[in-house]
Amino acid sequence: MKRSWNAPIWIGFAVLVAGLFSYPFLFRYPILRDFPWVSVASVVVGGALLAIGLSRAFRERARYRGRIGGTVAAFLAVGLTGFFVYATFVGARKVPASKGAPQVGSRAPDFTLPDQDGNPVTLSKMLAQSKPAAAVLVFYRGFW
Amino acid sequence: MLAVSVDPPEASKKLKSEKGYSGITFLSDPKAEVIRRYDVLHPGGGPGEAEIARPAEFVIDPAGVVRWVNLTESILVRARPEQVLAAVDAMGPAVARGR
Repeated sequence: MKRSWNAPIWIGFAVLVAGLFSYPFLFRYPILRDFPWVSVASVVVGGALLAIGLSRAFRERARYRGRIGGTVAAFLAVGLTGFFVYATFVGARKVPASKGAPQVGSRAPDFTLPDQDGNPVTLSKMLAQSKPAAAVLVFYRGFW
Repeated sequence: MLAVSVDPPEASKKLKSEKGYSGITFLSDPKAEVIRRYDVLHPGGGPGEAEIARPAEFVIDPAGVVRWVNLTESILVRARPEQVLAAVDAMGPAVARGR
């Protein structure tokens, strides 16, 4: 008897991988950026399919293929998921505490820095000029 | 709106024109001097262990006093625009949203 293709293994693996790689593409949606809901859902659904497929590959050897391929896919899935979890929940949180940063109510240290055209910009001068306007000061990682 | 990073002005100019961030003034702090003064340095946080700024946002009133601070615990979680606007609006009608 010809053994049939074990679809859940490969569909599950594809769902899991697609879900993990989708994360950076969903950054425009703050809810999905703050927590990788799509990736987590895909790991649950994809992982379950993969497990079902792998389990029947071993239990019903005469009917289904995928013992070797499914095992390789399962190891890859675990490795990729582990890397994703580490990068998202551990690596991304390795941020200095910044205890000495200016607090609410304290004076913002003044500074002068060149803008994108090389012209110097001074915080206090910018705050003083024209109408009363707040300044939003954003520090970002750069290297875009 | 001022955005500070260790990027050189040329890189910021490119970023600004490519992304169309017309309302943002990009400031270059390659030696991380101001970044250090604000204690928002992330040593080794950049490519090749480079010193960069950690993500941080401050709202500063016209008198130069800090009115709102956001120091994220994860580089993936950032302040949302509505949080910043709410902080500006909380200063009262005398302070315009401006740019």
